[in-house]
Amino acid sequence: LSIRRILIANRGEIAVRIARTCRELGIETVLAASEADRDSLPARLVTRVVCIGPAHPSASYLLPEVLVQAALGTACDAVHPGYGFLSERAAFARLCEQHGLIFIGPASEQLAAAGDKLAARAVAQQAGVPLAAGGEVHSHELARELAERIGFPLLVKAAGGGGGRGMKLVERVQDLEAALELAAAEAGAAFGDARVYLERFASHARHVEVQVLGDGAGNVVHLGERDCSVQRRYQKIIEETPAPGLSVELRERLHDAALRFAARLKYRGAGTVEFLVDVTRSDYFFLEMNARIQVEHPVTEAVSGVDIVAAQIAIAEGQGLRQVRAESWPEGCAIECRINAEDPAHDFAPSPGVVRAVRWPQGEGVRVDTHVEPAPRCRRSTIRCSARSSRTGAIARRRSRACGPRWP
Amino acid sequence: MTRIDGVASNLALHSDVLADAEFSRGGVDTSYLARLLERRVRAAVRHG
Repeated sequence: LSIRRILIANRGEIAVRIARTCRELGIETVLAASEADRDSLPARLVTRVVCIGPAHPSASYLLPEVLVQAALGTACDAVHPGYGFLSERAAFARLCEQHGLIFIGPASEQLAAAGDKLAARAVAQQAGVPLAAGGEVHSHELARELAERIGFPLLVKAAGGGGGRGMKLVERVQDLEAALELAAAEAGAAFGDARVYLERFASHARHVEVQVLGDGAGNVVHLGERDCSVQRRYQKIIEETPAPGLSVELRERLHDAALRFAARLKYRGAGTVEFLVDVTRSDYFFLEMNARIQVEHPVTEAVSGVDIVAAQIAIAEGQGLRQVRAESWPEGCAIECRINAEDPAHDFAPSPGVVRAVRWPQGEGVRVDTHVEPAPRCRRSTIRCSARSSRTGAIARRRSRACGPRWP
Repeated sequence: MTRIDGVASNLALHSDVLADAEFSRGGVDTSYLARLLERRVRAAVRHG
């Protein structure tokens, strides 16, 4: 099976990223672009652009039927969903499958299991992966009982999705009811699923995640871990690999747990298993699985030498993990900074506007992933600067050079 | 060196994190950034 033409069902820097790998592989690309993105940087990198509707995502990038018709109408044989938008929607993957399109990602039933946080907790339990105390709640009374058992502070979390939406920190029992109502309303609006669950809150834990690849037949490999503890309101700001200061034993336990989870699902494609880690107790527990390529994948690519988009395509073609296994042991270290258009003077509120001038960092080991160019309106500016090196001292200099205010 | 003109960005925050001793030691937890931002606010108040 050989993929000839891929519909990129996304925009921004991930569309650029996918288009570049496809170009290297000699695969034609069609960009599904809203009216606002027809002249964007990714639109100039692809073979063809097809307009899928108005600028607002709810009228374009979030319409499964429209995207499938765009793929069929342009004779694509596969769809790459990127991240965000429909990338983790089982219904979208299923619709692609029903129309004979290759969905470059997990099978629809795997997406359903990983995307539903409660189903994912059940898979983790079956795989013997430690879980934080918690569970689903169906009434305020049951929630109070469970909360008393878990202890405060705790988190109310959405079962239908992540990214901090539908998530509330509760420090006192008297705030629980309001938090449940608010979280359910947010979750319903964001994911079309108002179910919520409670989970013990670890205030001083680290967020460590393991990159995995699976062939869909039960064979899975990992490409090491990333530390994503530098977060603001559950949004990652800086990611690095390997996670600093983990013992060899704890690192191996995390890798093994991620592989057990992915193998249990017979996972297909690229995914990330996320953990909260208490280094002082040498303990960890499962958070969730992101069943897609991650924003922070470049740091893993930098140390593993694996092109994760190419690996996704090879797996979707049925080539399995042969290419990955030969070269996948991570070496060196890498760090990534997410530069966002947000205003520090106004509590980091989004600050869309016109980018008048940009200067990117350069030099050995520095990589910039972006779709931003000067002049056009910058609606959703995210720039990722990553640096890699075999030595931590060298990487400190490189990352300062890349993201610092001036040359050191 | 990165420079972006025309829109506000979190570039200065990255500079602060990369220059911060606690971050440089490695192994910060998920409450780190909130602590750093608090320190920034306190420092700004001190310096008027």
